[in-house]
Amino acid sequence: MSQSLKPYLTAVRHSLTAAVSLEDFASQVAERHNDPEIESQRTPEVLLNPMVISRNENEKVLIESSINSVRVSIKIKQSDEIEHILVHKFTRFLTGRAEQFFILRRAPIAGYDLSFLITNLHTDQLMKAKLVDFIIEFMEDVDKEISEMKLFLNARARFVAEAYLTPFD
Amino acid sequence: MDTDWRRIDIDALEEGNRLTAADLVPPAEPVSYEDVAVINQQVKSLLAKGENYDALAYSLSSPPYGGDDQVKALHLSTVFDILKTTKTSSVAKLVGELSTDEQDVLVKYLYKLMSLPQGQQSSGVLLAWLDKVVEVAGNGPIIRYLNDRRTV
Amino acid sequence: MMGSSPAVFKFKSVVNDHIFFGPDNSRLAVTQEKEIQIYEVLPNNNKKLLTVLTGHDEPITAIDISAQGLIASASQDRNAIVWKPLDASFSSFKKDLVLLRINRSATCVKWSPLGNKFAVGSGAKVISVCYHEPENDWWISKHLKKPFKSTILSVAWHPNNVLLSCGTADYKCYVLSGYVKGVDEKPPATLWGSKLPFNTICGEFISSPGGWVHDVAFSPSGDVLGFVSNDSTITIVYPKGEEQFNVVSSKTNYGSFKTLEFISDNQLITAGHNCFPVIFQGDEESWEEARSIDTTATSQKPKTFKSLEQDDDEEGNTGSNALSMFRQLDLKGKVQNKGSSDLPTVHQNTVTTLKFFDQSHISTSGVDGKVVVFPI
Repeated sequence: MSQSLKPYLTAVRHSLTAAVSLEDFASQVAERHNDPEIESQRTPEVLLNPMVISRNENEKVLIESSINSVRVSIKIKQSDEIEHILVHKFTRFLTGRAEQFFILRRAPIAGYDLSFLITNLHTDQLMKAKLVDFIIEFMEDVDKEISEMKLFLNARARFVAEAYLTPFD
Repeated sequence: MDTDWRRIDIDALEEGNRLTAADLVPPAEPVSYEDVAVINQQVKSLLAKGENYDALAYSLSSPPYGGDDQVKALHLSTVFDILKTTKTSSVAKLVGELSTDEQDVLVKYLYKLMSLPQGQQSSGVLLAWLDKVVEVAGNGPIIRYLNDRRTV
Repeated sequence: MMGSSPAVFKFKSVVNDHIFFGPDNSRLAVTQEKEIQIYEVLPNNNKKLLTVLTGHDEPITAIDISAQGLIASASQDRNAIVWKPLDASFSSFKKDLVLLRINRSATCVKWSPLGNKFAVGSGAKVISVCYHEPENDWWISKHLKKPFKSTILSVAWHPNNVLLSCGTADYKCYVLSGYVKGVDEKPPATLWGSKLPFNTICGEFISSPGGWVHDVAFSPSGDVLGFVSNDSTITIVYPKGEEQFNVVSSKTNYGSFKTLEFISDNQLITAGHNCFPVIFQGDEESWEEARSIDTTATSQKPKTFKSLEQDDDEEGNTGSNALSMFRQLDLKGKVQNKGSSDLPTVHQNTVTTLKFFDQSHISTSGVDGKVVVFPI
């Protein structure tokens, strides 16, 4: 793990651990409803202050917490156009399969690339520490994945260029 | 005339039935710009003398909860100056000497700064501070940051 | 009958609330989603299902038992039911729906110390104080409406059977009067107030950082009030008479607490998102953590842990199973086995309720589906 990534991920871990303390809470606005309060936003007293953990301007995590749900949004590093396209493709692939990912939100919230929605149902079934581990690991891997893909893409581009240019040798 | 009666939110018509975000903020003493400017000057002179702990404790002991945006922005930059000028090696010791209340306020400033472009440019410093606070004080200050409606 | 080590009972799903009752505390009632299951406790921490109480059609949020042995349950379906045992073995019950007159989830229920009435807190921003009316043989309620502006998360009765305290989702903790004419005797004056008609507000408190008030409790003498809030702070209130109060608070570094009970005026026991019960002690000056009840949780960040239950075959750990499945769907499709990351505590998830089992034991229930009896 690179030097500056570690404090970033540690900070995210601590913030997540603090934010993921959820309980069952039936809506006090709609009768017999029980929605994630952070999504409905209809009851201000059960929403908590949002937290932003940033590594730099282009890489940050937004954690919005409420009494029965937490929304975690990640902005993945995109230093050039290729990375931008790769991240876009990658997150599209994931969100298109959101139902298989359990906590993944189908659409990221504005300004971020990927959002997770954790509700009290998830924390009831899964252990909190592992849930946090998963998100941290995901963040760790996604950077690697993107730079790997970029290298791969560049290598292919070079190969293709070479193949095209051989006749002119 | 709007006849879409299905969409009328009848609960909203009952006055005082719902809290708004503004209702939740506890009342605080108003803080004037001059007051904060004085703190800013004093902190600057303390920093010049190298007394970072005094500067930090002084600025964190009186967060301007009741101030307007301008007041808060000035105090934010005061705190940010201290954070930036403190040597990384002495951060842990400094945090350990703060009281619980001051640690809570410090965490508020750290998160606030990380959400702003000016702070994001020096995220490394902020992350190091946050790391030390958690090391010294555990997750308590973060949990209190989440819940506290008094913002900095 | 309970020994010196924690006794663990496991159930299928989240236990929101539990009660031990019956002769020698040999019966156990737990909430399992929409039903209440009644068990007989057998030696060696075994249990036998006696009966299942059905009648709610949304998850049950709380249950409580009166001094006379009536069980009251509150549910998100906006109802409360009083269950009256029909035989001495507690295998069948008569159910009575309570006229709560609320239109949101009922969140908590507590019997008054004498057992002649109970309070139900709700998302409708009222507390229903319910009592039995013999003429029609039904349970009716009076509403405490003022001054609530948000969901009531917890209620607790003062030992004098009249005052009650509650915690709300808008960070407040109140003490008010639940005096019902015709049911209660006129109470003697207390430090909280002397004239106590219904809905008199005797005090309003907030913890200094603020947070949803998850639970409130009076000390056995009734002269100390404590509440735990989501900012992981414990706040203790000492009434000084004439609406003067001395408020002491203690910030902790644990995850926030969900439940508390007083052992004495100077000692309380609490548990919550930290997953193990802790004793705090103090006086009007300050309150400090004394010790943990769960001896397995000796350090805060231990690495190794051996499961306390040997017979883990039945339910297993649903949490890690689901997660390993989840992990397999990771972007690389890899399966990771990092070894056990179980918590070093008996409870593996948030503790939801904590009650006195007898003089020297407490019982807790948790999101992990466990009910545990700890020696203090």
